Amino acid sequence: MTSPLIETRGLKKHFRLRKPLLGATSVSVLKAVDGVDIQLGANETLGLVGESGCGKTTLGRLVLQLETPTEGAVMFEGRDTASFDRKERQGFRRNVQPVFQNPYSSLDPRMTVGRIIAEPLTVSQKLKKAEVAERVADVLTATGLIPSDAQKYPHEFSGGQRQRIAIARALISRPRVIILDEPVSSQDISIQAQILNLLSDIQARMGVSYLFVAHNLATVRFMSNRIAVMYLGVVVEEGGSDELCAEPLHPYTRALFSATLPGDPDAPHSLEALQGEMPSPLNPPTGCRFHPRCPLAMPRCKESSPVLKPASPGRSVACHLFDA
Amino acid sequence: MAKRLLEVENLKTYFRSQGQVFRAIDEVSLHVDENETLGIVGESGSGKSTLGLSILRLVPAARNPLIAGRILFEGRNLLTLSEREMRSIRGGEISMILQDPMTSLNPVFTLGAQIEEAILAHKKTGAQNARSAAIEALRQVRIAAPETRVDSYPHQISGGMRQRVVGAIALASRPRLLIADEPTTSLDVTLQAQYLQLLKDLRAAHGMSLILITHDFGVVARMCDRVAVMYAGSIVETAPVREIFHRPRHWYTAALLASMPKLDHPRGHLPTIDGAPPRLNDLPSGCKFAPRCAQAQSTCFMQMPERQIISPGHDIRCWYPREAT
Repeated sequence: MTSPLIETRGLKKHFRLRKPLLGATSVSVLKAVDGVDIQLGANETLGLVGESGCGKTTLGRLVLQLETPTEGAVMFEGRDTASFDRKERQGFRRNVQPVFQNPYSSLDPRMTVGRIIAEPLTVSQKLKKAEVAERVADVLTATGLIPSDAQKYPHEFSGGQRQRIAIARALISRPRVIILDEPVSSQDISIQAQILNLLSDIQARMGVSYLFVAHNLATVRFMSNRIAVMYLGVVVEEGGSDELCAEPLHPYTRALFSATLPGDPDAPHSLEALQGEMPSPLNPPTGCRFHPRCPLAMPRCKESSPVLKPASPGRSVACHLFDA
Repeated sequence: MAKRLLEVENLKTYFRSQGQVFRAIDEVSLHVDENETLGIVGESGSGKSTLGLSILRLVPAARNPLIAGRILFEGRNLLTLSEREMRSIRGGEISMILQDPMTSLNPVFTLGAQIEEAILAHKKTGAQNARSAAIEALRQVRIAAPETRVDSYPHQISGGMRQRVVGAIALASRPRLLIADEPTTSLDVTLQAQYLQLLKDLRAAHGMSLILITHDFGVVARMCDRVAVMYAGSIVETAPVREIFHRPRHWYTAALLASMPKLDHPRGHLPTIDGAPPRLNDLPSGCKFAPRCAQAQSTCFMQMPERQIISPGHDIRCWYPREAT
């Protein structure tokens, strides 16, 4: 069996927060990501879904090497990225590119679009000027813009067009993986569909893999082959997108589905699906992190923390209900 | 027959800036009956928030607004009231909830002080009564232990609770009409579900009317009796909620609904609306949606279609409406 393109093994990121307290300092530990194993294969989209504060963005940043893991490893093509030398690290950065949520803050307003897009190339590869210009024109066309847009500045573009520029920048180094962190949530509905279609087209044409991080279940469902659901730093359920959406198993996944409003006034729906709010990741509950809000919690859920294990073919759940 | 509470006729709100005119609201007419929830849905820049602010005459003066038309609230035209009369209506008979609970609460006052302020502004009552009314208001929005929370500061409570406190302030004076502008956009899905249920219950319990401004069709489907769809400052379609979802007659409404990813949708291609909304200082001369409309014909580019009623309670602005299927 070939190893997946990206794999995380027991990945953890704990942030130490210092607060001055009467002359002394109190240190608390925020466990943003707390033991996550995910795999991303070639030409595949893995959707990472969860509410704010669940650790999905930190996980994406760990994979991008923008954060150093507290524990565990990020593997690229079966090799631990921590062992990479300078050259291998450069190769990794070419192969794994980001697109962020807000194209107003992720594009430098003082650079021309051409320079913004070419930046990943100029820092890592020695290419001739004409070659760079040609590749900029190529990715602009691939993202539905025109080559002459390279001379303009970001402020001359709408939000949707800016996100296309960000995607063009991610594509220029011909990566194998793109980490998309909420790429459409700042866009209007009519623009969201355009960007989602563009991302699907690019994948079909170039065979790039996506780690698609988002909070909107319907969007994640539309984009992903597989979905991983996160809650307070851990993955609680993972599986094929069709199977997971047809029959969510974990009580939290089920609550997420029932809280997602269908665009149909006649669809059956219970508004009050889940009580309470997500606890602070500074002080997560003992045992299963979801137990204080879980309608099916049992006494043991307070004491022991369930691990993610196979529940059916291609499907894993971290819940004591499926311990049998 | 249901009693009419609010009637907006031919409302125009224009902004003037650097010699240019931005037509943020352009000949909008709508009404809200008693005990009814009207949804106003549209993309950003469609004018839906400006519409809410115009009704309460809260459009910032710094934006140099020009407001014309009539806004009849229980028969009185709000646009001709004095500022003093308007102050008793604002936060009294008509209240508003804004999108961001972080900025609508004052960080240096306790929750109780902020709710009491709203109560005392509209009712002559003692400090002791105001305090117990504030505790009651917190209990109503399902804040646990309201007797102790009343002395908390905004930073001591979670985002979901803050938004409920904003709701408590808006409802403290028992308004007849509540205007909620994207009240759940900053909340996560599970909190959004809780908050919408609360709004629904309170609307019914107080017998008030609700104008819900949102970009989210899911919220509209769950909450509204009738819906007005806005595009580039105009209402292009108004209809009962089921008509909007099952028999949209305006091409924009239909295209917008089709372009949303749905939970039971397989992977593939989404139908899209090409292009982007027009700039408000450079609107097309005909139908504003014509440049993006797949069905547009030459008339559409030349003349703005008038508002026409095509079935009871259903009106649109379109020269060539979709068939009702």
